[in-house]
Amino acid sequence: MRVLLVEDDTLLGEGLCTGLKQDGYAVDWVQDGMAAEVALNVEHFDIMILDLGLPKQDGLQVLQKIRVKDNPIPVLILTARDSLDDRIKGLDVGADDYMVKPFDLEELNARMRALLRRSAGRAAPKLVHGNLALDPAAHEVHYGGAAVDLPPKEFAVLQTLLENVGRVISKTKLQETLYSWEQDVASNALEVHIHHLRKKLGSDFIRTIRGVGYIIEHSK
Amino acid sequence: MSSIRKRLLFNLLTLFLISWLAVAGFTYYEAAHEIEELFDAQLAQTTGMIAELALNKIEKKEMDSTALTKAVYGHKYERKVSFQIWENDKLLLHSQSAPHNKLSSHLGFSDKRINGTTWRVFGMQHKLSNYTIFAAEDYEVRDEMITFVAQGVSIPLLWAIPLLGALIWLGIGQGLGPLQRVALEVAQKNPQQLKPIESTNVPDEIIPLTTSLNDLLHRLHQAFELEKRFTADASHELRTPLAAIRTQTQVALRSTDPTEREKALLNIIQGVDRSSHLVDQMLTLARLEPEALDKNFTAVDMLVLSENVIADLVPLATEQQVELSLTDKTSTSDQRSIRGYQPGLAILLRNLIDNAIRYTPSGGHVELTLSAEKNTCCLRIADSGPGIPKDERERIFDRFYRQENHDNYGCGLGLSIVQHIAGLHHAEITLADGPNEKGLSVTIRFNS
Repeated sequence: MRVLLVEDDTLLGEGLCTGLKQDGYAVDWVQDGMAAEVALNVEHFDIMILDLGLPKQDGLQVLQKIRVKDNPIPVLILTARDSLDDRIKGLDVGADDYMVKPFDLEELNARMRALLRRSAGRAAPKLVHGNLALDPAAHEVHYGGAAVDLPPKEFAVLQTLLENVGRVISKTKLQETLYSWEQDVASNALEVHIHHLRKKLGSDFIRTIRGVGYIIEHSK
Repeated sequence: MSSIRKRLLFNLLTLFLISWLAVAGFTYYEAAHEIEELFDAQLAQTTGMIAELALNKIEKKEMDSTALTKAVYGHKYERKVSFQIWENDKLLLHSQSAPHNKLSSHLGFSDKRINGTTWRVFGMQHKLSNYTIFAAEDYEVRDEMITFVAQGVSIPLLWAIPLLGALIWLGIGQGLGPLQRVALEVAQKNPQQLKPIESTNVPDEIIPLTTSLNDLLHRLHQAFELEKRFTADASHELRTPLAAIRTQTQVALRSTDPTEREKALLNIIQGVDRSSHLVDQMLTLARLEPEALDKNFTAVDMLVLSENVIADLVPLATEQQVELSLTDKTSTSDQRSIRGYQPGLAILLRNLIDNAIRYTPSGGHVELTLSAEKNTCCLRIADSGPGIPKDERERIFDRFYRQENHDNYGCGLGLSIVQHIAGLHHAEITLADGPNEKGLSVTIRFNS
């Protein structure tokens, strides 16, 4: 899952980056409102964590602009502004959730998972496909009743594909989900992950659509 | 008596009583005078009538005083009339109540005391004979009449006083209604409700009061707003480093990589340092309240103070590789001495020089110049840093204002503190470009 973190405070931004990466997210971090707008225009993100008091452009302005453009990205506001007015305004401008600093990293994570779940159009916390179950909160995958050990990247690929069962996901989209800007990615890195997943879940679990991408088909 | 209503009632009733007494006194005097004249006229008339009747009877040899007395009777106030008829020195005829000696030694009106009461006497010489007729009446009748008139005037007025008092009381009450309304409105004011008092329907007399009250309310409102904003800003500024510390701690706890954990732990220390710096600055600002300072003003030699502050900052300058220098252009110690709060002035200098050092890239320099302009002590801190764009210069003194691309050390309070201290010393701060149009130059003029 790819996250855009918009936070002007270096110390907090750095902590959040590391914390979210520990949870398997690909994080891109910008420190002002203009950079956030630019990033949203050129890249695809699954979720945005947005501070409000930002240099150059306020967080609410950024939010307003992307909602005007009909960008449906889930947005979680993370701010020190705790007044009722601010919270109502934030949600009304188009945020999906609102958290006040200081916060708990685990709670932030749970809320992000909930937002991602909803944006994928489901309510159940676990992704189930045939005899495979993926639990995003616990980072666990069970296949035929047995636990399957998956490193973060493989887990993320599987989750993305499971969230889009029956739809082809392009290589570019998958790569965007997995890696942030600063990561140098070998051109065959995705293929390696897919290869490992197939070894663990069976070779026909993920189908390759040549020249397009990958798909997990509806179970028959 | 602090109630306007009671005081007005008291004053008005006193005034009313005084004027009423004056009117009553005057009326009594006038009535008495008129009654005297009326009775005198009547007495004279009666005397004339007695004279005619008496002469008539004397000529008819029917000299009977009782009959005559009866003839004179006829009115209740005439009962007290007595008379004498003298022919030269011989008493011809007299009423029962009259004495045997002459009622008066002369003709016309006179007063005579008989048996302890005063009588009004009128004497006349009959025109056609040598008879002298005296008629007298007791003053009692007149006094009775005068008392009656006086009572007629006073008693209704005595009744009127309580009635008038009640009416005045109610009238004042109604007149003070708007005042009470204003009082009620003022009573409802509290820090959350500081809207101006309605000025419609307020009597002209208290408009100055409501105007100054509204002015005060406005200023109070502004002060509260400022406090509220400061608290909101302060909590915001404190929450961010706290959030950073919490997040970094969680990162450290979860991390399996020793390098990552160590980095997070170092970041926690940095976050704590930043929070303490912010708390220190906020406390400094809070302690610099005007009331606390006024008493602690002493003569401060700015050269000595500058030297001390610079000495403290040399380690920082060395670390940042910035050259620090101090130039004294004053000629006498008087010129560099100002009256002020020494610890406050030290904070002011330290904040300015500290800022200059932090914003100056290594290899640069910070110059402090002390001079006297028209007997005004003047301090200039010039640096070779990036300077501040003209349109931002006003805002840098705002609490929690930070320039874009700021470093993480500052909390945006340092310059607010500088401005606050300068204000307390009636000093003027101006920002300009540094020497050779590079960097920033801050000038403080102490208008002593």
